[in-house]
Formats: sequence, structure tokens, C-alpha cells
Amino acid sequence: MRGMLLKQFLYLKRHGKTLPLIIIMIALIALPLSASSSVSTACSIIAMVAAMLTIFVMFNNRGIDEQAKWDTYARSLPVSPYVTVGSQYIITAIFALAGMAAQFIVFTVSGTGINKLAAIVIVFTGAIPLAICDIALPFCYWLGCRKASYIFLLFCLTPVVASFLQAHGINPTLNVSNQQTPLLLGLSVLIVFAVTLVSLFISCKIYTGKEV
Amino acid sequence: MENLLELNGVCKSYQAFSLKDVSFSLPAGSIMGFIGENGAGKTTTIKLILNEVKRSAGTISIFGKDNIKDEMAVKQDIGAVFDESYFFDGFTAADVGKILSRVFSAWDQPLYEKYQKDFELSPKKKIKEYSKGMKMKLSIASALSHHPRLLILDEVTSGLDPVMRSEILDLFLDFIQDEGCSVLFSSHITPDLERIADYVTFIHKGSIVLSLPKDELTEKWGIVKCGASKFADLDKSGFMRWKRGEVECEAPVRDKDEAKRDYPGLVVDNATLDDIMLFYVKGEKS
Repeated sequence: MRGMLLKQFLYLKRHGKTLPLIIIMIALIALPLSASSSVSTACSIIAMVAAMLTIFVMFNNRGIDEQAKWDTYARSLPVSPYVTVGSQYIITAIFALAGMAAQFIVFTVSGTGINKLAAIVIVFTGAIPLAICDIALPFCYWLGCRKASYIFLLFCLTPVVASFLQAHGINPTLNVSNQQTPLLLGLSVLIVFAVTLVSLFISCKIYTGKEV
Repeated sequence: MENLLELNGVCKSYQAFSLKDVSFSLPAGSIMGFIGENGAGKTTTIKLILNEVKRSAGTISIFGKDNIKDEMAVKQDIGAVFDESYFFDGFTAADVGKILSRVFSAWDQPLYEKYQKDFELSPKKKIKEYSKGMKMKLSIASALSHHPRLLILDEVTSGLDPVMRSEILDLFLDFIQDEGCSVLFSSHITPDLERIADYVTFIHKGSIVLSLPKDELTEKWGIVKCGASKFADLDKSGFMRWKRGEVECEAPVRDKDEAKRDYPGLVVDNATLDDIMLFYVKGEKS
């Protein structure tokens, strides 16, 4: 696993100049979109950066593997398919977790503390991009990154769907009491974890089933 | 002599091609040339050995172990080199070493650095700046640096200049000086195999045509040559294949001394691997 993970990090190192540039660009885009309060500004930026980076890393690293035809070589190595495919999931999880950690730091340092809203923001900063990657990765292994990226575009329609629903008076809200919040957040984490395991299993099946 | 690799009745079917009952064995301390025309099934056989594709039938044993059941253990002792480099071209030789040192338990970093020095591979130069020959040398260095017992080479000398090919072939000869090691060398460049192979296995249209010591082929096999009119009168039951030209006809024979006795007055020349391959691919048969 260490070798495969190192490979993932080395891919990122080779894009060392591009990554900070992407972070700055996303931050610049997110800045005017965010609210006036400084804490919520920081949180919005972090959430957006974490989501975009996690998804970028997934497509970037898988894309490099595809371009180099790495799978053909990897199958000749003493590395199990779960390790090869799993390293891809771990690298995306690391970026999602980094986003959560950054949110946690902002809430703690700003003195806001971890209240109900802060907990929701922290969990969803990691959970949403991770869930998107969980859905996209099996498609990447099945169809290749280029075709899978078209499927990813469907996620971009989410705001459009939300606007459509609002325009038609459908505005689903979830009234959660303070007592229910930890339970629901815990449940969200468990669901994302389960989805990740199922996604990993499917990706591995596709990876081993493919005759390179 | 212990066999490092044994294939018995291996089959694999695709829609347009199938590998039929492939059987051969590779003894320790030897190099086996695996020859055949493009599309004959060489790469498919190698992929089956490495469990990159699933076999339909048969058994493959490496170091006496099943290549699927004991896949991870077996692969620790295999070095595989393919006809192209599969490393990300933004990597350096040092990056490749860092990754593989965490993959192979017996990785020998000083040996890898020695190969880099011998092959003049700059550890800091990116792979995209390497020539095809340098990329191949990097693949070979990375396949040899964990002290494998079995080296599997798929068309590694294709597209290389004669000097580079000669250097690489010498390296494989050095590798089998340790008698516990063997090389399966797939190629259609038969002069390379004539130089270094101890055994030759010839695959044609997915079936093994012959698998025997190279010396038997080059020293015992021959080509009977005669005029077209004389050839028409000959009993062809002793010939596996033949080529019929307008003026001259040729046919390979398994024993050239016997052929000289059986066909007095006919010319019997030495056979090369190319000749034998050409007879099977292009020749006629009864």
C-alpha cells in the first residue's frame, strides 16, 4: 500500500505548481459568493476548495494512470487489486479530511466553537466531495476518466434542480433539533463510509475483470 | 533440472482469437526465446502467466506454485518488462525507485543505483526526456533490482538500435549466470534469440508448434532445396511444410543428416529460426 500511496502523492508533487494556483483561483471565485461575515466567508471558501480539490485529485491521478497505462504494469507487480484501487480512494479521502480539518480549525480559532451549524458544515465539507468521488470512481474504472467526467457534469446540475424546485414552491427543509444533530451527523458519516466501501468493491471488481 | 515455469494445456478464448492447449516448460538457469509472428499469441501467453488475463483452462506453475493461488508470493520473484514504459512520464528514475522499493520486499536500492549509473540514466531527469532505449533500460533496471528469479520480457528489443540491443542482451546473459534464474524472452527478432536463447518455443495461431533446445534447431534441423520439377516427384510425407517457387522449392526437415541420406543429390542447408518461422507462417502443408 505504501508504494501505491507514494505514487499518488508523487503525481501531486509533479503538479506542485498547478495545485496552489487552483486553490487561489477557487478562493477568488468563492470570495464574492460568500456571506459578509468573516467566519462564514472562510468556511465557504474552504468547503469549495476542499470539494474541487478532492474531485480534481481523483480525476487527475486516475487520468495519469490511464495515460501511462499503469494498470497493465501494476497487474505484473505483487500488489493486490484492493491496494492498487484502494490507494485512489485513500488519496481522495485525505483531501476530503483535510477540508474537514481546515473547517474545524477555522471554527475553533475564530472562537465560534463547534455548535450545531459548525458540526454540519465540517461533516458535509468532507462528506459531499467524498460521496461524489465514490460515485465517479467506479465509472472512471469502467469507462475511463474522459467519459466518467461527463457523468460528473450531471452533479453540476444540482443547483439548477434546486432552483427549479424552489421556483415551483417545493422547498424541502429539515428541522433538526439540537438533540438529533449528532445522531444525524453520525448517520451521514456512516452512510458515506458504507458508500465508499461499496464503491471500492465495485471498482475492484471492474479493475480485476478488465483484461489489460 | 528444476523448471521455474510450467504451462500445461493453457487455453484462452477471445471472439477473434484463441490460445489452444499451450504447454511448455522453462528450466532454471536458461533463456527461452518465445517466437511467433505478430498476433500469434505471445503477449496473451505472457499476460496469462502474469494473471493479467484469466485463463479458460490449464495450469500455470511458477517456482512450483500456482500463478493464481500464490500470485503475490510468486510475483515478488518475477521481473516483467514490456515493449513500452508504463511509468508516468513526469516521474524520474529516482521516483520509480522510491515506489518500487515499497512494493518489492527484496528491493536493492544500491543495485538500482548501480544500474542507473551503468545505463547512464540520470536520476533527476524526467522520463519524458528519455529516448526509447533509455526508457527500456529504466524498465529493465527496475525489473532486475529486486533480484527476481524469473525475468519475463515482452518484445523488449523491438525498435532499439543494434548497439543498445547488444548491451541489453549481454545483461540477460549475465542475469542467468546465477543458475537459479531464468528468462522468458518473447520476440520476433530471431537473431537476438539465436544469440542468447538456450530453448526456443514457437507459437503460431495460438498453438505451440515446437518447444525444444535451440541447438537442436540450429544444428539438427535443415532446409532441403531442389528444383520445382524434382520437388514435384518427391515423396513429401517427410516434410512438415514447404515453399514452392517457380524455379526452386524448399522444405524444412528435423534431421538434416537423415535428409542427406534420404534425398541424395539434393542440397540440405542449415536452418535459422527465421526460416522455420517463415515455413510455418507462409509455407504449404499436405
